[in-house]
Amino acid sequence: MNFALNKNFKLDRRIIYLLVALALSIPLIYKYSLTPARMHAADLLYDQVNQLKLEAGNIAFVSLDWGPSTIAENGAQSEVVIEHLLRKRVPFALFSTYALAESYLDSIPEKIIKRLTEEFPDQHWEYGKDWVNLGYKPGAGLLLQSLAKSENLVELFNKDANGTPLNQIEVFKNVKKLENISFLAQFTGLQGVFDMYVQFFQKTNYKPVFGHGCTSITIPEAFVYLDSGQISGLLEGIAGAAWYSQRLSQDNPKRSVDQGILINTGLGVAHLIIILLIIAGNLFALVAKRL
Amino acid sequence: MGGYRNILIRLVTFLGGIYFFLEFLLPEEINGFKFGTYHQQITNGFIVVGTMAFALGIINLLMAHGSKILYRRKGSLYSAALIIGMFVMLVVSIYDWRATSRDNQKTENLFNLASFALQINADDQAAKTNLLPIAQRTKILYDAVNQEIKTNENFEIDLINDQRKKNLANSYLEDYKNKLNQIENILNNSPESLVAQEIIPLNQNLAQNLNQAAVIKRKLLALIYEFSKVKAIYKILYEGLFTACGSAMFALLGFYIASAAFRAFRIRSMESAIMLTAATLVMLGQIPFGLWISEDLPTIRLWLLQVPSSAAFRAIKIGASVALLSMACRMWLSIESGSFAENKKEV
Repeated sequence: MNFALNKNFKLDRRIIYLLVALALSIPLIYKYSLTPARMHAADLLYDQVNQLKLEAGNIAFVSLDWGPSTIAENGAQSEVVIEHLLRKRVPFALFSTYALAESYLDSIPEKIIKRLTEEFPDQHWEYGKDWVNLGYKPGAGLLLQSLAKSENLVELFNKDANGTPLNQIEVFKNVKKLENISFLAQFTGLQGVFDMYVQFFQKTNYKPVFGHGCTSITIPEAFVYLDSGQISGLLEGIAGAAWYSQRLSQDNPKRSVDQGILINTGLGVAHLIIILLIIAGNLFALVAKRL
Repeated sequence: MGGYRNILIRLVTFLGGIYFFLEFLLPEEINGFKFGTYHQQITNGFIVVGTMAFALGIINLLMAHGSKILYRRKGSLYSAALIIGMFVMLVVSIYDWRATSRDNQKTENLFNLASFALQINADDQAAKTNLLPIAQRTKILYDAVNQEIKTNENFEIDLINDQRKKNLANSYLEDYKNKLNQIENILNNSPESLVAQEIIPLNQNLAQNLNQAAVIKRKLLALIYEFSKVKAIYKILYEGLFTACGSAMFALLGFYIASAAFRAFRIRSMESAIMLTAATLVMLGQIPFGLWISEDLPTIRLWLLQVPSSAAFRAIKIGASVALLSMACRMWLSIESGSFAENKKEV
């Protein structure tokens, strides 16, 4: 294999891999960040969360249905929304219908709380009062159907991930039915999971404010639901998470740059390289044809 | 035998399908009859059956890869790595689960005693006659609580090497000790010398304090456990190895896409030219550099996604849903040929 552009204008694959690797890694290593592009759908979600005024006894639900393979996108999205909820002191419950997400249900809020505590040393956020981890719940679609039918969510979920009865946890004190869930944020990179929430996480005369975070490949599919009003806001891959993070930084000047913006910057460079490679590939093919 | 098996499988498939079909369609109540009365129990049953698939998966893995190792076929080294990795993770996870269960059991008594306190009150208010008097039952309760809280407990807070979490653990410990003091104050009352109207609020107060003490103790134990050796090994294997490898595997796609884009994406027709233009506009509209070219690129991207893309996806979704419905009906009625098809000969 030639290590460069040969006479047939075929570029060695290793050069392409090296270019992409440098594009993605340099911004992360040197913490170089650029202002992300404005994402209208992320703006919608941000404004919805900003305007959230939960009545006593109401709660937000955050569902992390993603695994290690989509951590770059879904992880960043989950972090920014959870951070926003913690800043606004909106009590929320974390759960997942995907077993591989189990460790993130603890690690992500802990990571955000650590950062917030550095920013606000005189404030603290407490497990049980500000958030609760319900853990991995098997059953997926069956669980969501049960949620809608349940007359008592405390009995349905019973205990948190640590085994503490939910009726002893302050966050769940007055939560009874699905109607007590004012806001639902669902993040996933899996096929078919999001559709179940749209289908089953509602009742007659009740629909929560629904925010969704998806991977880049499922953006066109998710836009259909945004357009029809079935979801109130959408985080489109890492770009959506980066713009949401930018909005958080605009409203909180002391906030430090987070991982989402750095990854988005690297991804932007990689996108440019891919566009240039496509153009170069077509030009080379044209020149090679004429020669 | 094969015939009966087929009939049984078809029958169970049909019954399972028709239950969920009717449960979804029918109103909640028809003439006082609630079709979904046992829905939760049936759902739990299906979840259990689904969980059995995990066990089947393990058996399958052992059979497929175990035979490769035993007969030293090509790839037996990779099979050995898989089996060893599976067992190591299984053992570590079991230790992790056991440790968490042990910690939970340490607080279970407190929750049970709190429930007993509330039960004493409820039984007295219901005027149940076949039980001991409230004062006597409360005395027994107080003795049990006394025994529970006097147990010497050693919380290994020094294991925590994160200062913020150590401070949190210390504050939990202080709260726990305060709760125990409050419980002791309640226990100083002598229930034999009190009437029911005085005992009931004391029991209520005791139950509340016991529950709160149990919650605090559980949070403290969970925090300490985070820094234990078992958890450290679990984190290295799960977060350090499994999560990292999983992300890396998915990340490889990015490199292949870049390489494939250069080598294979050729404009050979009008359609491919339109596709390339749309893709370029969408990509430029969502990256920071797009703004350097034009401020309108995000708006163009939004229009492309909201109008032509959504229209196409709606069509695809409806088509796919109709196909899925048709396939679901065929599977429900066992028309779809599968492992239990009639014409398949058993080996």
